[in-house]
Amino acid sequence: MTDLFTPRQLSSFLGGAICAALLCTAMVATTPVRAAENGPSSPASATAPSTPLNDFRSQLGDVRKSLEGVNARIEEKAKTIESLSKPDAAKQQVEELQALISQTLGLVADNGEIAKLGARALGYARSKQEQMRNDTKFTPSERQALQKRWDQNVADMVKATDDLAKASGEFAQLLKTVQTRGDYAAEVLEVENADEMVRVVRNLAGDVRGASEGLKLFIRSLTPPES
Amino acid sequence: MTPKLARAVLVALAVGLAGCGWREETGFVEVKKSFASLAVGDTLILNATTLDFGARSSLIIQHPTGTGSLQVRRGETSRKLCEFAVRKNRMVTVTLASVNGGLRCSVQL
Repeated sequence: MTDLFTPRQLSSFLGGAICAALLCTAMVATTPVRAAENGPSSPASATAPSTPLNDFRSQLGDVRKSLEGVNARIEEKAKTIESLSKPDAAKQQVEELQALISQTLGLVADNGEIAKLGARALGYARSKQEQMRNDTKFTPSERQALQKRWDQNVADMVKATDDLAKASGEFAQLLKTVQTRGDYAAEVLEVENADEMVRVVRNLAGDVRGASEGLKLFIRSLTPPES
Repeated sequence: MTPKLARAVLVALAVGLAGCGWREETGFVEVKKSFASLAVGDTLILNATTLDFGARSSLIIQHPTGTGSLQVRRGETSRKLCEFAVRKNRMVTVTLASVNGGLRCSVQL
């Protein structure tokens, strides 16, 4: 529907959706590998202890799967809206699109499960970093190697949580754009209904005038000729 | 099984299934702040959620539909900054500004 989404809005919207999804996917694909090197697909994962890092990684995997599915549906829906010419149909499609984006945004919101696990994982990595700094059990070279890896892990985890926040911001922007477009569709629908109402009132006025003329003729026919 | 009993079982099953698929309706609140940090000892609360901005200037919070209330808490006392409607699958943006030492809240639905 050209009135609802201008080509520029549509392309920025689609671009934003893809960008946000890719951002999340890239984040999930790269960082957690360092965060917890034994992934669920590796044999060691079956025996891996439950740590905040493993929990975070497993949740991110679920998010990636959701994003892959939802992103395709968002693109499809946006294309459908583009081809619609009736505001009521567009409004319904926009509402469905809002629901899809909300579903995704719910996954990456700041009070969502992923963000909470991310914060917990970062806290855990920082505590391990601190533990290695104060360690007296290992040899200096072992301690240094472990310290280096935990330092890298903390840096990666900070980047991952920042990327998650960015993705959340991108989806929030998408939701705002779509809801504004939905509101516009609703306004168009309302003004079209109002136009229709004017047409109905005009027709009614014409009908009343016609009836009035008929009534006048009838009254005239009842009036005695001499009066 | 009598038809009456069968109907009762079906109704119970339908209600049970509907119950399993029930999900709370939610919208989103974007809380933005245009100042560096809160006064020492102040905490921002959105209904029951404590807002921790860290180094960021905005947060996206998923929130049940209904009325959202943003408050600033200091010790045991809390002061309401603003109230707004949270609607299903929609975003409401709340911007916080520091004016004359106090916090002011503006809402964009």
